[in-house]
Parts: sequence; C-alpha cells; structure tokens
Amino acid sequence: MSAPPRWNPPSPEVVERIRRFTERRLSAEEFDAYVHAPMSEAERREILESVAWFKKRYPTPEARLAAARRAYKQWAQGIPGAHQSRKE
Amino acid sequence: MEPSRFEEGEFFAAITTSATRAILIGRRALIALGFPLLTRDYDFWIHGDDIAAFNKAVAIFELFPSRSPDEARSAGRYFLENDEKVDVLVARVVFTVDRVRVAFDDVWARRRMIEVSRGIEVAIPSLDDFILTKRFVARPKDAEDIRMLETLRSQEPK
Repeated sequence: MSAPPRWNPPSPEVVERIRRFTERRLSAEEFDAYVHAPMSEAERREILESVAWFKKRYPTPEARLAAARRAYKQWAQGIPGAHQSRKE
Repeated sequence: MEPSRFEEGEFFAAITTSATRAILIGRRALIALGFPLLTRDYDFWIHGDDIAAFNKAVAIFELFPSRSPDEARSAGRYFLENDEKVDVLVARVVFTVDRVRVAFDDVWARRRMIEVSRGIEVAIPSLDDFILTKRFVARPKDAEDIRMLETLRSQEPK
C-alpha cells in the first residue's frame, strides 16, 4: 500500500487571497441575503449538535476558551502567515 | 523571539479588576458561549473614557496600543498587540450595515456576565445585541455567526 500523499500548506499568497475574500465587507443587501438564506434542517441540526458536543467536551467557558487557543495554535502552525497582523 | 507572558485567565482577571467598562465581543465570546470556532484575536468594545485604564490593565502582558487614547477615540478603534492581538472598539455609537444605531451605553446596560476563569467574570452582549455587533462590519463570517446565533436563540425558552 502506498503512503498517503503529503499535505502541502498553501502559499502565503493563496492564504492572503482567501483572507481578503472572506474578510471583505458586504453591502446590506448581500449581507441580508446571506443571513436569511434558507437553513436546511440538516444545517440547523449540525449547528446545534456541534455546540452540544463542544459544551459536553468542554463544560466550562474557561475550558472552551483554552481548547480554542490550543486548536488555533495547532492550526496556525500549518498555515503560512496565519499570525500575520491585519491593518485596522 | 521570546513569546509574551500571556495567560488567558490572568488577562481576563486584569481587565475585570481594572473595572473598565469592557464587553467581550466577536468570536472569542462565541467560543465561551459554546461555538467551536477558531480565532486569533480578542475583540472588546469598551467605553471611550476607559481606554487608558484598559491599556494599563493589560500592559503587564506587554500588549502595546496602536494609538494614543485621543487618537483611538477619534478613530473609534485601535488594537493592542504583541504575539497576541486585542482589537478594541471605542466608539460610543456604531451603525450596522443597514444603518441601525447601536450605542455602547445600551449594550452595556443589557450585558450578560460569563465566568471565563475561576471567580472571574467578563461582560458579553445579550444575544440580540451580539447579533447587532455582528452587523457592524458585515463580512461573510459575520453572517455565518449570525445564523449560528439565531439557531441558538431559537432554542431558548420563550
């Protein structure tokens, strides 16, 4: 059996392009269209289940905040430029 | 480079002890509420008169402000940074993307408290106000967060 392919992190340029795309400001109309898009029962259930799981796994806000810090650090290690500061 | 001496519980304790009118907003507050999300920043909305006290409280963590208090009041926001980043909104009034007026004093009056470390509570917005703050910048991820908050709100007893 061959080894699974190695994961290559995206280039800083790609990360920056994605950041600009996801952090762009929407117009009021675009924003409302996004917010009020119909939500399927599956999406609703997934949100509630993920919150329930997180609160069960980490029962206190303190534990949840600590877990999120650990997860972010771990994620940022594999993403070039993740710690890059944004301008105000 | 040496990492900064940052401990989250101590950070929140320093802010609470300083008695600044500071509300934790943004994704860090959502995480405390129970949403499994990733974020780098801490986002606070503080009273414009409390900038110096807030900066003094977190100076122990070598977090340095990007603007003087007067400049920050004029711009409505600033940040504190080392290898951590704290975004601070200081405007007394902010308008949402659809021009709804949101005043700090009103959000402060309706705040909820959440225990983020043993014996340490920080203020977060009520769910309704949280949704309004997510309409300030109106990015796609803010829309996603509102959908999650609305779903959570739909579960609350009437």
